[in-house]
Amino acid sequence: MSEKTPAIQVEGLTVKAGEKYLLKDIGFELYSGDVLGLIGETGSGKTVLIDAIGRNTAPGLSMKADKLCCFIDGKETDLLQKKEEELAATVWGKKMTFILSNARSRFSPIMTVGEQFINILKSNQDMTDKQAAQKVQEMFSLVQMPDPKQNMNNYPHELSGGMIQRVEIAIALAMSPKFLLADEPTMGLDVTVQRQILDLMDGLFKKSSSSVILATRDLGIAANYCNKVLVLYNGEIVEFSDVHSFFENPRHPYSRYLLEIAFVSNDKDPKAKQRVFRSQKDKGMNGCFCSGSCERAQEECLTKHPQIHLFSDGSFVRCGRY
Amino acid sequence: MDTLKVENLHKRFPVKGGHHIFAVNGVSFSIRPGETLGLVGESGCGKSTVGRMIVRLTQPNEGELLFEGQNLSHVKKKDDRRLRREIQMVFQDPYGSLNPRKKVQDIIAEPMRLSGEKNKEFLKEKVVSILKMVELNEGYLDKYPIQLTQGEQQRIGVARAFVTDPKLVVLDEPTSLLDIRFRGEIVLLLKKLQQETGCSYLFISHDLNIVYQLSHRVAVMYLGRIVEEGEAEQVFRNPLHPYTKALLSATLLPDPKQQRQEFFLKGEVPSPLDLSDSQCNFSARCPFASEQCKNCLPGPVTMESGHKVSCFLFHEELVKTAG
Repeated sequence: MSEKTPAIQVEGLTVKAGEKYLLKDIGFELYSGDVLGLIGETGSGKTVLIDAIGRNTAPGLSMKADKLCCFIDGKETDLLQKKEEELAATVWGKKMTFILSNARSRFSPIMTVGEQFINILKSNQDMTDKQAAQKVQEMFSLVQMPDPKQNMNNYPHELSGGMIQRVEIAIALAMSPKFLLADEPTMGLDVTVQRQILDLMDGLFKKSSSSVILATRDLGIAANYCNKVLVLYNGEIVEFSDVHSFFENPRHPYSRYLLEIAFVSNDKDPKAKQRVFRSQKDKGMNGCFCSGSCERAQEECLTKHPQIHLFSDGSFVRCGRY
Repeated sequence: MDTLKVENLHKRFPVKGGHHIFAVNGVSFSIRPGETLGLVGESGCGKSTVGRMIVRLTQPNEGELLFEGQNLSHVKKKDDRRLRREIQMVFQDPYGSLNPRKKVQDIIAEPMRLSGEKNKEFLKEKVVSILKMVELNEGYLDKYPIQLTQGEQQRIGVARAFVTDPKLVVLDEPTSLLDIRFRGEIVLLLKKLQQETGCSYLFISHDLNIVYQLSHRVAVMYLGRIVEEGEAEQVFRNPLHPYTKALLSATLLPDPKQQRQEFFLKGEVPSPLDLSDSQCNFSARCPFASEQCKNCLPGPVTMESGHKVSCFLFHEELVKTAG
């Protein structure tokens, strides 16, 4: 395994919609070769985080951070201060690429996928049409499109969800990026297609030792394809640790609850815990949102908002009990 | 007597140019009182169409649907209301299946009102008691769907299905759009309700983990046919059909210590357009396919354990043991 070179550093990242926090004080560090499983419910802020790193925060929202940078060939690149044009010329689409769920909406319906891919390649690299077409075919073979030559001439509507997702992945990987941000890349796909796509991505990540942030709601995906886990709830970090520690010994009550309820699906034990999780966030309390259901909760958990506690191995959890 | 008996169900949809989508091609199964049959398969396998035929949202082209012995294709007017109370459905989209302009209490009361119930006192009592059954308090009566979490919305969908004291509930992917924690909660709720009411479930889903949790028996569908059927324990622990094996090996367990099973299937499910019935429709992707599979449709074979499978691999086995 390669030495631990830093890849992405985020500190104090906050995104607001007016007075409401969509992301509050997000901070973490990734090294090259890390695949981070970004876990959270709808509304937890996963997509907002990925957008923020790509400086793609929706207009009308305010984004600020103490630090937001990535490391390219050992050199720190400030993603926050640099001008968009500069980042577009050097980072986005080349060193840092994105895979979104519902990829279909990103394609023009009136051009073939081959044409669109060629245009993207040529805008990122100096290439002739012929060279670009060659590269597209190569990438289509790599992502196991059923018929690379023919598929280049297909329009998006002629391709199934699984195939469009493969095209999206092919585009994201074409420039051999150092950083890949994938937002629920297999959502809505059949389980056998999902598995093929994830195995494919896994093989490609391992070969290139890129750093990946994989947002997902599926704990199975996090367990099988990620080496680190970051849990978000309501715009805040709840827990960050390596995947084995997380699944074996989750520290935060919310993490524990998620794992319990996921294992419920695997275990026909009639005595399985039946408690229902009631989030306190809607009660307007300043305390911890788990204070109603956590067996370790104390007085201060109800009134004091818990801070991040950092452990010596680099993992951390937002809990006042540590 | 079986709560539901389905015999040789067929459904095809005509497509311009004289073609047909063969959605359901000879499906047969039965569900006993208090039992859950899990119907699994990927998109296009026909499982939702089967569910819709059972609740009479669409009519089969061929085959029989018997609910407690009564033929659902020829329902007399006087039986129609009763049957609509006794066979209910829970839908996939928790928000989309609720009328956004109605309060929770009106959404839940509606099936009873449509059944002719007019007594306001009785309606209110019944709604409150059903809300309690789905673990929600009276505070929810005046809420609108938009004010609820996904989990709460789906609980309302379940409440609405149970308010008429059904004998059979068809659940069409009730958890696939829910976040992780709501999925588990709904599964526990459905289990509890079945224990309390003795209702039967047809649980349609592509999520094998959840199907395993809820089902007594499981039927696996591929391109409109059942390829394997048996006790849930049998089908999951000892899958026979190559497609079932592929489905199970594709499943990802939330446990990083367990090495994930190798997954051998390539490509995607072909289109059910103009499907042939003179070959096994899985043969094009099957690693075990032989000449026979491409020329002939395998019928179901019942193994000693009661486990049924439609695959020539097992026809041979039987012939070997018989001979």
